[in-house]
Amino acid sequence: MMPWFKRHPVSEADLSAYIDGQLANVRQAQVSAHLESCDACAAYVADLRSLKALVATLPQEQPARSFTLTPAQASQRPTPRRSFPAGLALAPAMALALFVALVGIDLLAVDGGGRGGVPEALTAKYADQGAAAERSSAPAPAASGAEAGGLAPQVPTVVPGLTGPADSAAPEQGKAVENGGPVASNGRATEEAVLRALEGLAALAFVGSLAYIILRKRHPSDFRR
Amino acid sequence: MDSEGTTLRLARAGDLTAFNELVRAHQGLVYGLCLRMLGQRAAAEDATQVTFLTAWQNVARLRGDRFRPWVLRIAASVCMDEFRRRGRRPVASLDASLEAGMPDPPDPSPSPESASLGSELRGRIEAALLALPAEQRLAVVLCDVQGLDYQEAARAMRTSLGTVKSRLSRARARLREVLLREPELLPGRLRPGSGGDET
Repeated sequence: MMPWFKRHPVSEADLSAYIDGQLANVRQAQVSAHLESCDACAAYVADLRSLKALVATLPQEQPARSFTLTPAQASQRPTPRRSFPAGLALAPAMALALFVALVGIDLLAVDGGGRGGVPEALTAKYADQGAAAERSSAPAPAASGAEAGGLAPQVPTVVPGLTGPADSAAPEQGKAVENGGPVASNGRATEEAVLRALEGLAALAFVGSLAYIILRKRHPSDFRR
Repeated sequence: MDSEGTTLRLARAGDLTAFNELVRAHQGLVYGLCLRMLGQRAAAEDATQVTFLTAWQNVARLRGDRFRPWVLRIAASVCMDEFRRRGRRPVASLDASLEAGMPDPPDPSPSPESASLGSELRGRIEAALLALPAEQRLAVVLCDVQGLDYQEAARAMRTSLGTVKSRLSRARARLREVLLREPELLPGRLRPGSGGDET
């Protein structure tokens, strides 16, 4: 509607402030000089002045009643605005930190965990447990060897992937050592699933708490009692 | 210290009678702002009452002796909260507002000022005002209706001078555009091709 403003050295806002006398002296003089040579801006300024005068003539409606306060009203305690809980303000940061930590663990697991993305720390833990179990079951092999296959299949379930190579089930157990054993695989899968779920929850908590804070800041009245 | 300063000092000290003097002196101003912002008398009365109650509850913390911009700031804030509470955008459809005009009927006993302004034109201006975005409307009401300068308006709106300037400019441009759609209602100066003689 007003393409001429784009070609003019004076903005629409300057012309509006000009009629209110709210420009700095130098700028006021510049606009004034421009108006002498520009019919379009002069006409616009005249329109704005007329408009301002019209709006100013709108009647100032008087209230139908008085708003003076009675002693009862004056004794009302201020409506408590729900103060912003400090914990809530920290929630997004805490959720983000948790998310980053979980992702970090996940990445470390992929980079350094070797098989199946399980961290070395976890495999070392299983190794320690396995070694302890092996020591505690050391007297048994003679008996277990005598009873042949009766007890042998149970060994991997007790000490996943860490049965001795001299055991009667050696070939299968060697394979189990390579793969971490069926129970260890299940354990790793569970660990990964838990990790993913925690990451998801942390991300959800971050987004949710951030959205809540933004909404509360933008629409404070919606959160009042 | 002037009379209002003394009254304000007493009100700060908890003197309800003194505070009510301030209320009587400013209630027309505050109610006018609320009415122009909200467009409904009942809502404007509620907002005015809330404004003065809030002012009373916080007057002890008021620094300086400028009650007017402070109470207008509270009123503006109450009006903006009311918009949000209603859960609707303050920017109404322009055409709907123009068709509807002011929700409340005009005052049965118009003032001489009101009578001098054609009622149709007045309705047009009021409808155009109501169709403005809330922030722009607040700028027009404070500066052009209430007569505040940019500094006072900036304080009331809790914003900068530059923002007041740009909001007011956009609001006036929009009002002008709307009013020029029906030039036959306008006084000669605003009519297209009238030559734009300055007054």
